[in-house]
Amino acid sequence: MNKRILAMLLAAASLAALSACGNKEEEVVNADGPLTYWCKLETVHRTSVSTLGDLPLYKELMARTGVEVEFTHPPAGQEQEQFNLMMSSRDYPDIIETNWTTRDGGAAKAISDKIIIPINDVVESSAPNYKKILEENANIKKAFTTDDGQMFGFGAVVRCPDITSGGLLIRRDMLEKLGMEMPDSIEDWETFLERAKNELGVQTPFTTDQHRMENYMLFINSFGIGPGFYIDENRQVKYGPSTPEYKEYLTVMSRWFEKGYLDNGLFSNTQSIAEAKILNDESAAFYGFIGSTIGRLMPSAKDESFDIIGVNWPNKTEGVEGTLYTSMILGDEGSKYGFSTTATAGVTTKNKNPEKTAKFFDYLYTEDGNLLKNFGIEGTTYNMVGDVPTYTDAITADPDGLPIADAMGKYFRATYPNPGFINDINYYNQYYAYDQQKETLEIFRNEFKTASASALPPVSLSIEEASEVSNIINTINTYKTEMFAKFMMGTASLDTYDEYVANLEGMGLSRVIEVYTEALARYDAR
Amino acid sequence: MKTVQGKPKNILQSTLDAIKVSWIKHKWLYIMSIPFIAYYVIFHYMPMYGATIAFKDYDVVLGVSGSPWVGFKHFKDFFHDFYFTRVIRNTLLISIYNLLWSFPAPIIFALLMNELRSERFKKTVQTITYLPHFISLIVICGMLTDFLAQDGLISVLLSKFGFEPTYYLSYPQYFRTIYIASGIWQGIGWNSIIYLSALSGIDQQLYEAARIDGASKLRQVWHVTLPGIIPTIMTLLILQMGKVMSVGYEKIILLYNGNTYETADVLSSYIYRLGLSGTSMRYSYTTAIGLFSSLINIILLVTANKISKAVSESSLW
Repeated sequence: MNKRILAMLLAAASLAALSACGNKEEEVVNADGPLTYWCKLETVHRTSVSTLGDLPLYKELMARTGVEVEFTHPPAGQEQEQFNLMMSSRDYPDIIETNWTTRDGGAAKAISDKIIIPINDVVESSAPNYKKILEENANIKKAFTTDDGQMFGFGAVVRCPDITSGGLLIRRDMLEKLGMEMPDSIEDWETFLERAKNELGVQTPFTTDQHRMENYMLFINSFGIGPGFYIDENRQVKYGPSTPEYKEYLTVMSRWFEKGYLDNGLFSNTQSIAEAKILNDESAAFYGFIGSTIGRLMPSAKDESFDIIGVNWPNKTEGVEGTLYTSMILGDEGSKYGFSTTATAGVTTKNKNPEKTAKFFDYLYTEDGNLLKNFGIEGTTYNMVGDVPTYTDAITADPDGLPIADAMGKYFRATYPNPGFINDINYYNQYYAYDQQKETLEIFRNEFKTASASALPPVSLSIEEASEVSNIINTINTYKTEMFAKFMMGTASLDTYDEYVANLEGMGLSRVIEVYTEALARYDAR
Repeated sequence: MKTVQGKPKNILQSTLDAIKVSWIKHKWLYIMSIPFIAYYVIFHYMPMYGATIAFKDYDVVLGVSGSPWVGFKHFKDFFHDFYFTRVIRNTLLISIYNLLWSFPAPIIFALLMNELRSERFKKTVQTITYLPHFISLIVICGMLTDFLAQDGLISVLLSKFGFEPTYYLSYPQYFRTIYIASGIWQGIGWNSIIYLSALSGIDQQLYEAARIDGASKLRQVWHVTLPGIIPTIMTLLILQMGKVMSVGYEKIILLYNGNTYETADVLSSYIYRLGLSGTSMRYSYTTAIGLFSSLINIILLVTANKISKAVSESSLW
C-alpha cells in the first residue's frame, strides 16, 4: 500500500514540476520570442502556404523591421468558432486580427473586457506613419477609434476609396444587336429587357439569386434607398424596406417579374446558375463582380462575340438625376484614403511588446510598405516600369497555372482587406486582365460620385443596446425577406404595403432606428 | 408486499445484499461496462451543464460559469416572439404529417414485400428502394431543387397532367407535401428493414392454422401478420413521438427560402438562423428555445409510452 501512495505522490510531484516548467517557458517566449499573431488564412493563400509566415511579404517585413512574428490560423470555416473558444479560454496570442466592430458592444467592449488594449500611446510613440494617416484622414481615424476615443487596432487603409467591385453587368453584344445605347434609367432597362425577351428570344432577360436581389444594389439604389439600414442625404438613419420609395421599387420589380423580364427562378437560383444562364444566352443581364465574375465568364464564352460590361446604375426616370444610394460610406469628403474594418489587428492584453508590435505594423503604412504588401519583392514579383510597379510573370503567368489572385497569395496579401495599405490603383489596373474589366472599373468608379445616400459607417452599439435591438432586427429581417418574396411574386398585393410598414413598426423598427441614430451621433463625434 | 411496510430496514439490507451478490456474480460484466458509462457521462451528461446558458446572458468572454443569471428571461422572450406561434405550428404540422404519412409507409411497404413470391423481384425492389437512403442529403436536396424547377423533371411530368409548370419550391402551399413525399422516397426502403425482420420472426404455423380455418389473404394479414409486428410498430411510434418537436433543420434549410418561411420555418431552422448563421449569435436565447422543445419532447414521449402501455401492453419501460 505504502509503495502505491509513494508512487502516486511522485507522479503528482513530477507533473507539478512539468507544468511549472511549461509556465516559465511561456513567459520567456512572450518576453523575447516572436510575437504570436492570430488571423484567418484566406483561400488565396491556402493553395500555396500553410501559414502567412511563409509568405515572402512577412519574411521580408520581419527582416526590415527586425520584429519576429509567428502566425497561427484557425481551420477554414471555423474562424468564428475558434475566435469564441479563444475568448472563453482567455488564452490570447499577442496580436488578433478580426473585425472588432461587428461584435456586440464593438471594440469598446473588447477593450473593457481586457482582450485588447487601446493603442493611442504606442501609435503616438512608435507608429509615426500610421499616426500621420489617421491625422490626415478623419474618416479613418473615426473608424478605428471607439466612441470614447480609444484606438483599437491597425486596420486596412484603402488607397482607392472610390472603387466598387460589383454591380450590374450586361451582355453588350445583345445590346448592340438591338441597336440600343447603354440603359440609363429604369425605363431604359425595362425597354431593353422587353426587347431582349421578345426580339432575341432571351428567356429570362435579368437573372440573379434571391439574396442579391434583396440585399445588393441592383435597382434599389436607383430609387435613392438602401436595401437595409442606411443614411440619407441629410445623414438621417433610414430603413430602406419601409420607405415609400421601396413601394415604387417593388411595383416596378413585381411588374418585371410578372412579365418574365426577371428570372422567375429567382428564389431557387444560385450565382452559378445565373452565370450559366448568361453564358447560354438565356439571360442578358445580372449582378456580378469585376474580378471574379467577368474574369470567370470571359474565358468560358463559347462565342467570339460574347461581351459583358458593367452598367452605370440607372436613374429612376429618364434624364432626371435622382438620389442614388451607394454601399460605400459617404460624408468624409476631403479624406484621401478609405478604410475597411473587416480585418483589424488588435494588440492583446497578453502582449508584452506593444512598441515592437506597432513598429511592425507601422511599416505597412509607408510607401515602401505599400509596394511590399501589394506588389511583393522587386525583381521577383514586380519591376518598376517608370513610376509604375509592374507585376512580373510570376504573378501574371503563374508557372502552376494559378489564377492571378492565388498567384498573388503565394507572395503577398493584396486581394482582400487586411492591416496596411490595400487596393492600390496600379494593383487594380493589372489585376483586371480583360479590357471589359478595366472599362467596367471606370464605369463603376464614375457612378460612385453621384451618390448621396450611403451605408452606415461602422458604428458601435453598447451591449445593452445590442441585446435590445438584435432580436428586433432579426424579426424585421425575416419578415422583410418573406414579404419581399410575396410582393415580388404577387402573392401579397402591394395595396397592403401600408399594413406591411405598420407591421414593421409594430416589431419595433423605430426603436432600432433610434438606437442607430444615437450610435451614429456618437460615431460622428469621435 | 406486507413486509415492506413492516420492516423497511430489512428491505434496505436485502437490497444491499442483492447488489453484493450481483457484484460477485457479474463482476467482470460491470467492469466491462465502465467505458460505456464513462462515454455517456462524458459526452452526454457533462455537456448538459452548457444548457445552463439558457438561464443566463451568455457572453463568450465571461464563459458559461461567469455569465450573469437572468432566470426565465429568454423563455419569456420566446413566448412573446413574433414568430413563436408560426414556428411551433409548422413544427407540429410537419411532425404530424410525418406520423400520418411517412410512418405507416414503410409498414405497408414491408407487408407488401412479405407477400411477394419471386425472391429475385423482391431483392431488386429492395435494393432500389434502399438506394436513396445512401445519397447525401445535400445531393438529395440539390436533385429536388432541380426536379422541381420550372423546367425540371417533376414539373415537366406534372405538366402532362395539366398542371402549370412552375418553381414548386417557391410556393408555401407545396412545401410540406414536397418535404413529406421526398422523405418517404428517401426512407421507405431503409425503414422497412426493421419490419421485415419482425415479419420473418412470425411463426409459420400460425398462417397454416389460419389457412385451415379458411382465412383469406387479407384476413391473414389482419389477424396474423399485423399482431405479429405490433410491438415493433408501437416501440417505433413511441420513439417517434419523442421527436415531434425536433424536425431536423438540415433538410429544411436546404429547401426553404424567404417565400416559404410561412410553412417551412420550424423550431430548429429558426434556432439555426438566430444562433448560428449571420452575426447575431444569440446563444442563450436559442439554447432556451432548444431546451423548451426538448421539454415538450420528453412530455410527449412519456405520455405516449403511458398510453401505449395501457392500450397495447407494449412500452419502452
